[in-house]
Amino acid sequence: MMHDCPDAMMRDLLPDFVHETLPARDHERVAAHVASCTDCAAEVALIRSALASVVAGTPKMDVARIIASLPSPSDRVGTGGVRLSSSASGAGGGMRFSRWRIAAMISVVALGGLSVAVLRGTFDTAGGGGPESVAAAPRSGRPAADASREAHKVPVTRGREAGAANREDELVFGGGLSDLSDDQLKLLLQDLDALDVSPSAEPENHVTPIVPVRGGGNNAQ
Amino acid sequence: MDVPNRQDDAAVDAALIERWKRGDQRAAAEIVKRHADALARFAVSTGERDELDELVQDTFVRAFNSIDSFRAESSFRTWLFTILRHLVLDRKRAERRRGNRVELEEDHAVQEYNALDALVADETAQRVTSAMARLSPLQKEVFALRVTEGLAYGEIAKLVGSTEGACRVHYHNAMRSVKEFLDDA
Repeated sequence: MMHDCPDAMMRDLLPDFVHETLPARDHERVAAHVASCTDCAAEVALIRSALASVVAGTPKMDVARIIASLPSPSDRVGTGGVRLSSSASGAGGGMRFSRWRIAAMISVVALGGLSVAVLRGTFDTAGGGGPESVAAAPRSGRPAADASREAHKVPVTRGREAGAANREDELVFGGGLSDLSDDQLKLLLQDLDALDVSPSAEPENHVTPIVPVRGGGNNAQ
Repeated sequence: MDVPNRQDDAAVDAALIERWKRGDQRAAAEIVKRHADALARFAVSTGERDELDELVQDTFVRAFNSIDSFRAESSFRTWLFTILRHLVLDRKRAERRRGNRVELEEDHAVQEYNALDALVADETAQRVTSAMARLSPLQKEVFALRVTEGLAYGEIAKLVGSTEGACRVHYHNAMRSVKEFLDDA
């Protein structure tokens, strides 16, 4: 029957005693105790048996094979080399990620700037867009260079007037107000007046004013 | 209580690591020779016997790949044990997902270790092995690290993610269980 020695501190040191990792003075003290304590002597024997059984049951490792599989110092994480372990992380990995991110940001900014430049160039060549460029196109005698503007003509049907008159005036985007003759300006003003009287597609807000009534309160009650 | 031998070991490991970092591949070989058998023993004493070579090899590969993260807060061997322990846990999790692993019942554990009988000459050692196989996984780890590797409770606590006091209790409970098994056998 195996019992525990009542000296718990001594029992705690027994594995260190077996492994001979105690300082010399402590080792001698434990050795003296074990020599006089049958419980501790039995426990030391048990520890030695456990150690022996594990050592005997462990196959010898193929050290050469393990060494051959090791990375070289330049391959380890943080030196910019190959990363073999997916769970390993290091400063080098973070730095590489940052560089990619900076490169991606520069690319996005450059592409954005290029897109804006291209779009601005397109609008400029398409007709100098601005509010003042809305004008009635001259019906004849236009220079050949203005032929491209024909493609941008926007016919405007002027509501009730369209059926009453046979005028085929059109509003186009292009040119400037200064290019128009007096007649054309007058025509444009007439067109604008006609547009003003056109009914709005948006529903109007009908608000009944709230006025006080006799006897207190108001007409909203 | 100071442990001079361990301090010497730590100094030797630190010197070898520095040599390897400077490009000396022989230092890596020295490190492997110093710790490979201890890693294998720890794996075996916790019940890991399948593909033991691969397990120990993976431990070293992972350690050398992330050696800059070793802060020397524990000994290099304890750090290696920690890596091996994580690999074992990963392996067990993967096997459980595949449904290949059957949790060890007492009888299974005894049968598993009976397969080692041919390797274990001493009859008492065989019975001790059987007794160890019956311990709970945590008791097994603490007992193995304390008895077969001689680690201090503080190092064991860091390794298994527990406290020094709890590890001391686990060790003494494990020792009592082993004694009771040997008395009954």
